[in-house]
Amino acid sequence: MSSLGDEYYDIDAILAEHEKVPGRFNDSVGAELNLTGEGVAVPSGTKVELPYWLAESLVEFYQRDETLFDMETPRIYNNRVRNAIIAGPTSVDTRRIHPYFHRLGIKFVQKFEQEQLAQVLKLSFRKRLYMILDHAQTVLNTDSSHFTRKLDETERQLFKLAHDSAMAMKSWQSGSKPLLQSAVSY
Amino acid sequence: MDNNSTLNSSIHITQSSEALYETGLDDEFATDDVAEMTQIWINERNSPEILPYRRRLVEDLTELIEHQGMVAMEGLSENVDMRFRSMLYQTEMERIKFLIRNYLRTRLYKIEKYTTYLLNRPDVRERLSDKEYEYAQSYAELLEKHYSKSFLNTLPQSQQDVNEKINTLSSVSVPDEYSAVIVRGKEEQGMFELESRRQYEIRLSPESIYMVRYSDIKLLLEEGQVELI
Amino acid sequence: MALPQKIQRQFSPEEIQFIAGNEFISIIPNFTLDKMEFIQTSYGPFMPPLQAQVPLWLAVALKKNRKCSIVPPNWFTKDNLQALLQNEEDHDEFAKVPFHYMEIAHMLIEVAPDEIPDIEHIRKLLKDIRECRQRKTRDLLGKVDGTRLELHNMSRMELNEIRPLFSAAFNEMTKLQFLDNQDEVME
Repeated sequence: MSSLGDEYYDIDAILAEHEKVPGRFNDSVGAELNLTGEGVAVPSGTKVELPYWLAESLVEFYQRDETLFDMETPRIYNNRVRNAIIAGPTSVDTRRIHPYFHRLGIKFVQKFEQEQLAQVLKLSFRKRLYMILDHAQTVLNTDSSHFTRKLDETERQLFKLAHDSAMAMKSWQSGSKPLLQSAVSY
Repeated sequence: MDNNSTLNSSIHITQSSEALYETGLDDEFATDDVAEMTQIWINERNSPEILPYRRRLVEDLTELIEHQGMVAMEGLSENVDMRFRSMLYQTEMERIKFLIRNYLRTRLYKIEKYTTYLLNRPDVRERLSDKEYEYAQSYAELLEKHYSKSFLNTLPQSQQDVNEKINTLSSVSVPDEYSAVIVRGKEEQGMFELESRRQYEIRLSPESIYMVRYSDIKLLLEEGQVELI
Repeated sequence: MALPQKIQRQFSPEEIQFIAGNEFISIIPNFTLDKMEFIQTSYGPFMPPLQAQVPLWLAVALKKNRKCSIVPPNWFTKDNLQALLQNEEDHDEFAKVPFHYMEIAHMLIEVAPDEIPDIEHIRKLLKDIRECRQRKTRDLLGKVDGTRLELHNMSRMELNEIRPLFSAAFNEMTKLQFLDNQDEVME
């Protein structure tokens, strides 16, 4: 899991921000800017889908008290998804919704301060973390791929942390090699 | 970097320190040293940033190990009983050597990870030992050469800076002071308000263990009021 | 990299056991040995049948060389561990345990099984205690909110075990914590 100081190099951040999000241009944009990748001019009011990393920057531009671009809530965080999570957080296949479901959601919520979505993400996170730790602590031998298949990237990394820790403990408990090499010591 | 050379090159047994050890005045001092080194190592492993180098502690313990090493060696040529005692002395020495080595390796890891950052911050730089500072400089040079050779030179002139900053995203790795640590107080010191979240308090006491943000207890750690676990 | 990947996030259980090696335990030496000047402090002289207090690492070295028997600490009996298990099961909070209870138990069982009465019973009790406490750590997750988390009465080995996951969860929750306390709305 990358920490705050490493974001520049974080491949997961790069991949997560590739996701296309819907939005609308409030002003016309010339063809030479090639914003949508199609090399055409974009008239004011056009609805488009842009990669998150681009949309995130565009909303910072102001012209005459209006932002150049308004981002809408991505489809993957719509009401249907939110309700599914509230109804059964541990049954949702977050990976199928998006491999970076939590990661992108957190970025979105931090940028746009959406309280309700933040609460949903918190709930999802807490309940699913319990499920993840439970699995990591109690299911030690078998292959867990059927379990991790329904976890998004963030959750998989968290599962790995818990799982590795549990395996190290198990190894220690069954008599692993001592730390120091001398004949009698621990 | 050979950590053993750091260990061995700082050994310098003077007449006076040997005498100090002989008279037993060192006893209390030495007891604190091993326990203290253990906690210092634990703190360094757990802290996201590099902590001030504990030169006196490392040097004193290194000296004691060297001296004890000679004592143990002498014992090996005597009877079975002496050989057994030597083996026990050896066991203790291995433990202390492990502490010091791992302490130094942990610091090296942070130096390699945050080279540019710490070379640009005088307040962080002064936490390094002289040897560590030299190492940081050579490592930075090595990295610069490597990046230039491998791909930076192929980019347009304006893109060749190995340290770039776009808004808040910097290519210079920086220790994450917001990362979580596990901490407890060293003595009963009452309640303490968290810097980042004024309405939350923790109790400073050896019985009270918390996970908090490193930045919230950074100063307390510096002042020796808490220890990391 | 100067440190292996695995060790960057936490200590290995072996390192935690190393730290526990400084805990004191009673031994009964079966040989006479003059006072020894270790770096940390001096131990001995050993004069059987008098008990001596030594650090665990030394007790283990002596025991492995058949130079002593180890006296298990008071809490390490079938009855006391049974009481501890009961205490754990009766309360939601963690019961108070010796900070290095897992490491000490592990070393005793490994090095001095002959000196532990009811060892199989004790092993079972230790396992039950651990599982009960593990369940409690899962419940702890619900309390992670990125501000501070109380971990009172957890042992060093247990703290180290949860460290990677809990730190990561703590950091993620911090990002969602800019809003004021409205957690109760959802639960």
